[in-house]
Amino acid sequence: MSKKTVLLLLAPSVLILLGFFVLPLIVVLNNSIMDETGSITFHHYLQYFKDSHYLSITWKSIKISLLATFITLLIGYFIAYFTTRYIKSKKLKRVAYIVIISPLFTSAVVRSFGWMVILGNNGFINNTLLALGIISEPIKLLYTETGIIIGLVYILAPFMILSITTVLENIDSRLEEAASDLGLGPFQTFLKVTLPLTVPGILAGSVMVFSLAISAYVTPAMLSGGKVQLIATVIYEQMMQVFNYQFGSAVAFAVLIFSFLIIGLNHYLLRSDWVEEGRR
Amino acid sequence: MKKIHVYLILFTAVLIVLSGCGKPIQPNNEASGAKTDVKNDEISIAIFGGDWGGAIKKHIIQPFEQETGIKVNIIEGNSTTTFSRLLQEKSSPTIDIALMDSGISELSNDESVVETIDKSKLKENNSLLPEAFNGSEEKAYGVALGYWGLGIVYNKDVIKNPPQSWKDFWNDEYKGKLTVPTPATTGGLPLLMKISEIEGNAKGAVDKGLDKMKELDVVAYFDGSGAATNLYQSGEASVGAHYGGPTYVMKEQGLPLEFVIPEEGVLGAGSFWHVVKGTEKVEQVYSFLNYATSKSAQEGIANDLYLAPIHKDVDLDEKILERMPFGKDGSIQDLNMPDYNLINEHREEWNNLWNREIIGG
Repeated sequence: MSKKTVLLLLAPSVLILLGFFVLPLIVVLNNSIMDETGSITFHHYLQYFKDSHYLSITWKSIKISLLATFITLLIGYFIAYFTTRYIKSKKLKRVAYIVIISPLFTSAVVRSFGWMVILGNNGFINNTLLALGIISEPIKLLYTETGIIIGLVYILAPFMILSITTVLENIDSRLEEAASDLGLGPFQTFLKVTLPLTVPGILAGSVMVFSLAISAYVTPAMLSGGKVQLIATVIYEQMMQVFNYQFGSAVAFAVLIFSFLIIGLNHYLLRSDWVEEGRR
Repeated sequence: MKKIHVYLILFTAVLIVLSGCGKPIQPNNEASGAKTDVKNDEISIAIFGGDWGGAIKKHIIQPFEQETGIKVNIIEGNSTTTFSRLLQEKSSPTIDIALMDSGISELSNDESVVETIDKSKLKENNSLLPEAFNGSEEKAYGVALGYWGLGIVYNKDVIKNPPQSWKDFWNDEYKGKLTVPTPATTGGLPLLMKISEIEGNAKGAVDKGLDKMKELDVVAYFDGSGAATNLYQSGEASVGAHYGGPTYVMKEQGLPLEFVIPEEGVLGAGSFWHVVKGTEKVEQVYSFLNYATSKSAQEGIANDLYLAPIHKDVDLDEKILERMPFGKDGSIQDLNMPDYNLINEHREEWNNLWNREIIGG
């Protein structure tokens, strides 16, 4: 194939990438550095970085997203490990995958609504605990940060499970056998061989979950009941309620950069010697 | 097995992209634009979704389409999403008529995205109440679909002492069972302004009102009529503020809810049709407005949504009259209409204060 053909074949996807991902981003960037008269200004960024209110909301959003990512990782790893290692039949495995991805078939609105029914003061959890006499007053779950994290974990878990499953499936089982031949117990084999080998899956899953969590709007908006503010709700409000597109865009762009930094850091940390140890 | 995973990953990737595209307002593709479309037998109208959208389609859009042969492209959204779109399409609007609520209606006039209404083109002009128009006598920019308002709602199975006034929200009995609106919904800032007024703030100041609001022990705040309905329906909230129409819809479904007109009056609002500036289909637009202001459409909307009509001759049942936002024997003049221009002047400031004082960082 000549270079020309390759370029020609690549063109459609590059164009789609530019049109759908890069262009909207440029529009946002452009919005964020324009003042009302159309000249360039960094006023909106300064307004954001100088205001402890917005910074603390940003920090809270990052904290909630990181927590959601971490919990998703724990639960997701467990489910992924179980489906790849303990479900032997191919048919059952397929069923398991369908069950895992089935939540993605319904909209986030419906799924968040489901959690409202479960977490509310009159919800399933509180009613059950009250009926069993474990608690005497309903625990506040809905309309709190905890509720938002629960909702996010549920909605984002499939992304983590799928990326870890893919990696787990491809691990050469002889490596684990060799480890146990050489005297490692099952837990140590997992810790020293399996876990390091699945780091690429953990990495991919975490990046996906974290970026979806920090940008999530529907779930936090529904599960916060107007009592918790996150950065995505701030951006929405600036855009749709007070119509300050410039400031909204500046916040959006600043958060994008924060997210890149965190994802980069995560990448750097997990790419360390630990991964290499598994390969040795 | 490996292949399946590749497909699975591809599939999730597609899902991510799709879910990313799903939420925000759809760009121009769903409405055939006023500019791009030369056919004159189509107009694009922005209306609300849910019950309201259903009633508007049934009583206005369907008869209009059937009798005139003009096709209506419906764009569903709320006032703010519609307004946002009008702002961004200032130079080449793709919407011909936009339905927007009080507050946003005034804002759309300030931002010059809507036209002045030519009353002489309205067939029923002489049969309409003065409140049928939003704006001033000389320069009206909105034609009302109807009026409604924010009042008090309580669950009679839970609440022993029903509230009579906004001031009663601070009763000990209501702690943790209460819900009030955020500034995101039409009634939010009017309520904040009302509480501030009761607390002795001068016009245009809300600091005392905010302090008072901070003391409220709410189960949640609602940012729209749908969220409020959910709160009362699920029993999470059993007392608080809500709009009249949706409350009566829930009551009709058998929920033990009562709507109370507060001593201070219902905080009124209207929903108005606007002619989008730059539309090239003036004739079709006014033809539609004639349907929207007709006696039969006004009756249908009042019966389904409990909106106060603006046509003088509408004939309503006793039951519907009782559910008007001003009560059985009142009129639109009895509504406590907030100064929405004043609210707009302070919209960003009060929103900001609400976020800092009430929700916090």
